[in-house]
Amino acid sequence: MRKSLLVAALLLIAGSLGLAQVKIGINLELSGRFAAIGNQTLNGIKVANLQTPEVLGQKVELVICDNETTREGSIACAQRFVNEGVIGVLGAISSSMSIPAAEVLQDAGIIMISTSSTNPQTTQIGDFIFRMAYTDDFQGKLAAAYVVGDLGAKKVAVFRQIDDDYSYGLAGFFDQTAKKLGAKTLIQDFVANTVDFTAQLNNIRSFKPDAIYYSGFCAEGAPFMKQLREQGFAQQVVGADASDDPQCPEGAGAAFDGYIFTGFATPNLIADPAAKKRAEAFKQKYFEVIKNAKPGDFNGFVLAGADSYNVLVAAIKAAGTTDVKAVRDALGNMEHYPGVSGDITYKGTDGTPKDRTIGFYKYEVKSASDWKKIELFGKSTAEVQ
Amino acid sequence: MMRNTLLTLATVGLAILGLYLLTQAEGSSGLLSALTLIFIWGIAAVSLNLINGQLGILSLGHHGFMLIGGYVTALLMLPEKERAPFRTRLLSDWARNHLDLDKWLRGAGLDFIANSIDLKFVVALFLAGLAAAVVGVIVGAPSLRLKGDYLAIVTFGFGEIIRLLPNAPEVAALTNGPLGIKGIPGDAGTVWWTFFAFLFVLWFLTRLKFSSYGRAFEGIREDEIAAEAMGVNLAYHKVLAFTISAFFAGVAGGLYASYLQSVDTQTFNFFVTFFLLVAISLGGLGSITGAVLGTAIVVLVRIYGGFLEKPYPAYVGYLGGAVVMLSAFAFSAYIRKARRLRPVVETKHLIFGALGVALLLVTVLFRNEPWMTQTVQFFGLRKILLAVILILIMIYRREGIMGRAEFSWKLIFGPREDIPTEEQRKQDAWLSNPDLNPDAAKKEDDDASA
Amino acid sequence: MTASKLASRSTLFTLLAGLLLVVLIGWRIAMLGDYTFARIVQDFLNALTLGSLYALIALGYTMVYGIIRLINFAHGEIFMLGSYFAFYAMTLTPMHWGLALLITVLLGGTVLLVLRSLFNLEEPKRTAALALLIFAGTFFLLAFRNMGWIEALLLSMLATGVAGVLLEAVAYRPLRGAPRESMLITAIAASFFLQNMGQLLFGPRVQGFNAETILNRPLNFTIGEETVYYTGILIVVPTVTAVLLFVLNLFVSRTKLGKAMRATAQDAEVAQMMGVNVNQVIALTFFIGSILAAAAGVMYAIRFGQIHPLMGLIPGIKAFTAAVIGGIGSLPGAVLGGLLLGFIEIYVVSLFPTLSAYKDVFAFVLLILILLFRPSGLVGEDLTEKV
Repeated sequence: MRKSLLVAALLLIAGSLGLAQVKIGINLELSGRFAAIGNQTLNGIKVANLQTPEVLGQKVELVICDNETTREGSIACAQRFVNEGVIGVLGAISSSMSIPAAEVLQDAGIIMISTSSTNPQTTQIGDFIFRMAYTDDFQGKLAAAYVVGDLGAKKVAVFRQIDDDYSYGLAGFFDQTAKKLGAKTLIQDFVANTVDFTAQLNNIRSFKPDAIYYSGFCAEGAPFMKQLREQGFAQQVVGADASDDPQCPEGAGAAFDGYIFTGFATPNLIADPAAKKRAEAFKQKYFEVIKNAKPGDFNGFVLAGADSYNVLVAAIKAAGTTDVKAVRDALGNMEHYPGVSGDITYKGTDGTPKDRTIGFYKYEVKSASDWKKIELFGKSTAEVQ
Repeated sequence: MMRNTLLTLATVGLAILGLYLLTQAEGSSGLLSALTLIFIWGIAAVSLNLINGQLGILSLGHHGFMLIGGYVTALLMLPEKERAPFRTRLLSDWARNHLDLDKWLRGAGLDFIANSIDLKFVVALFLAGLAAAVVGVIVGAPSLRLKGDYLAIVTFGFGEIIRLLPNAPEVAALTNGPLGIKGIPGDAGTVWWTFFAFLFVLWFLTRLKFSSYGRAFEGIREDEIAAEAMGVNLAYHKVLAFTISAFFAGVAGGLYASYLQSVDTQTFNFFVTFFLLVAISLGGLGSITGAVLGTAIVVLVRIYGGFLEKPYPAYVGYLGGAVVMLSAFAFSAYIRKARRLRPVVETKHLIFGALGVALLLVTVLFRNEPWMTQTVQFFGLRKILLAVILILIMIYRREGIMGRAEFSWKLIFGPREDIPTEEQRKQDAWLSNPDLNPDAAKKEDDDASA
Repeated sequence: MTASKLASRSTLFTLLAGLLLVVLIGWRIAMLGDYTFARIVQDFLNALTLGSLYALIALGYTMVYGIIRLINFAHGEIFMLGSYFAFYAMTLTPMHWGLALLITVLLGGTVLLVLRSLFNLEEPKRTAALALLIFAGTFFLLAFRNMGWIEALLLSMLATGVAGVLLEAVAYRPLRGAPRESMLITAIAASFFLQNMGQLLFGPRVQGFNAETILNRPLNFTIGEETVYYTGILIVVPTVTAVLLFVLNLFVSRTKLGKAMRATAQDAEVAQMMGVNVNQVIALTFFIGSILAAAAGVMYAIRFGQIHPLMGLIPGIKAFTAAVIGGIGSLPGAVLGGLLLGFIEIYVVSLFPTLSAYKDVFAFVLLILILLFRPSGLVGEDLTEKV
């Protein structure tokens, strides 16, 4: 009798331990325009989950929600996570989807770590909102310094997607800094799914720019670059981290040859040698775990996804409890966490990590099926004023 | 009449009680979200039903009215901190400073309204509906000259123009352009708010339907020329219908904006009108009850159909496809048998059956191949389901679930109309004639002997 | 044109409007300063291409409307299917012989059945010859050739034509006697169905369409001091369109089936009494319309370099507007409307760059204005039934 009671009790405890799970929500663009980046990030999170499947003796359950690259979908995912009582939400990718979700999650008091939103507004929404990326003011400033300084351009044409927060904001920062550095700029607007850039190209023809800055995504970038080169514009084009997407070279082929862009740092470009080693180790594990991974599938977004997962789990561990407020405080006070994308410090910031590395890359494209991403150099946000 | 009113009040009371219990229950927030959406879309659907169903004019521009309502509510209710230039980048300073309901109310001395966010929302939603109604007059005007599918295309065009306008740079000064407006207070997007708004709209439109206006609308639907001959002023009634419909669509749009706490042109695209169209067609064009029923079904599919779009191994997809094909084949055969159509199995339906069998074979034979076990996700399956539902309704049961009938207490509590009453029996020559009806003969004997 | 029409107020109004337009354009060109002749030529080439694409799609709309008075909302999706079939034809070939065999049997069989019913090929010898051609040809192309754009175009046209016929048979034929609003609603539902089916089967991402063909090599020639940049596609599109239109015209005016189509468009009941198989004619209309849309889809894909499942929405609406502008139900009207819309779109954006954000709004505004004030379009008959 007592033995069976003991067994029952043990079973109950074991069962409750098994049942006890820490839920982490994932709000990503897994379908729609940013599906490629979304899936890369998801892979990063999955590998990180494989490496750290448990915290505080409980299994970590990932609840995946696809926001379909729409604001509505992102809000729906956020509300679903509020209902399900998750500790934190990882995602979204783009600022346009992250900002509405952040509003919902901040109100509900749930932690959110956007893996790659770079628009400064996102973390300004509240103290429960964090991000893993740098912010666009750095990206824009660095890009402008490179275009005006290193490339010596005196006239720059800026192409921005007017209905996307990220593209719009980034172009603004670039424009500000370029003007401050003494260059003349001409801004051209387009909306999502634009395929015909004749109007915009006509407009910059008489402006005769020395260089062109493109702050949009690959869905529009591919036809843009194609038409740019077809229309006889041979200027250097510099892009941003949204161009870190195979859709670009695969979509427009040789038109992307020589295209330079800023983006999330890959292991080689991380200055800190310890972080570099961690990133390399993670890269190895990634290719072990993810079958059929092409070399182009591993980039800074994967690292960002993994680290978002890692810091949240680390914060739970540091807090010693699954109480959301305590975990948030632990996350907010985090210093020098050894992440695979670099050193991560949230203390004293509004949710944007200090000292992120931005990488500069170049596409070398022979054809749509034969292309390479060359790593040029990395710069830390600490260097930028 | 008394009985009906009492019953209706009792039901409403029960609903309020049920809702209250639900809000107190644990883990019910998913269901409450679903109910909120049913109420919001329900308002939009019954307002669309006013034109499409009762008036009989196909209008495809409803998303435009909702958009106007959403944007007006957003601009009026935007709190101070959201009006900072950083958050509302393209909004002009004039719009930022002057389009503020709070300022207007305090300026007019109506502090008691300005201090209550609920009352403010009532005013804001009313103004939103008004704005949409004004546009409704413009969109309704062509209905005086055009008919049928040409008119439908014109309303579609208006809807799309309204959707595209806020993106334009000149208008962006008022609408914050393609970035949309974020940070709208969510107080009117709660289940209680939407519930009472929904009740109000239902009451209003039901009263409208059973008034002379409602009869005029339905007369226009049945036969315009005859209605005009009977003295119904076509122009007045058509434009009136559009105006009222647009008003409530604007209200629904404002509620939705509050629910999402943000609004932009992507939220109110043509899919919204399509969604509402499926809802009212499913429920029954012309029936308010039908519209509500249809909306409930469609919203539940949209919210709870998410399981269809989760990752599954590929063979589930093939199996699912096989099941769908075979059941489509069986369904069509059944319908044809039931309607006594010959031949029972049509060639084109045979294709479905053949495809189904083929898919089944493929699933069984290649079950363990790698391309069968990899995980896939079927995104967009819910939208496909909605489209298929609409096509099936149009082909097999155009009148939807309720047809044009409304729910009434008579259905449940009234006397049965299919069984003859005593009075009717006595008056019925056949039933009471002993030569024809042996039961009557017996009854007469009983009566005589009693 | 009769004397009374010349003197009519509406023509006077049109002439005045035209004059105003010319003055406006002249003033605008003067204001722009850098609007060289080379730019005009460049824009002309672009406009001709865009207009031809719209014309091809508009023909499908107008033909279907002329015959069964249905606005086929799903036509834009047929256009999309055309580009995707061509894409898969070019990227998946040469394919494994087993798969090629399967597709040949399925596709070839369907094509054969459809063609037989469309073109009255009852003779066993003719059918056998056609069957041999289709099966052998398809199998060869699929299994052994890495298809180039021309072969892909032809195959895609055939496949999409069949898809159009299937769409009509499944979604529209059951509603043959129904009120027009029901058919319109079904068309809308079919459109959404195809869009989302496309997203499901082809993936929701934008797909790069890289026909690394001679068509995409940048070319240029100089006029005076300025260069005109273009690629081969800007020459090919109008040429292919012209060829297709010529063939279509021949078919409609010279062949018996073409005559049957014209008769059915005039009055379906009487045509039926005269012995025309109306079902066959309707299926044929959808077939031809879909072939043209597929051609437009493939050329659009080559021109802009990418395809995605929702690509048919906007071009579909614009092509429909074009058909209405020209006069819905009239074939030359559709071509005229398509070219006109293409020219308007390119030149207005070129002359008034600040209006480029309103590009799509134009189409809708034009649509509403035409439907309200001249529903018969430019070329069509005066339709009193609609007003």
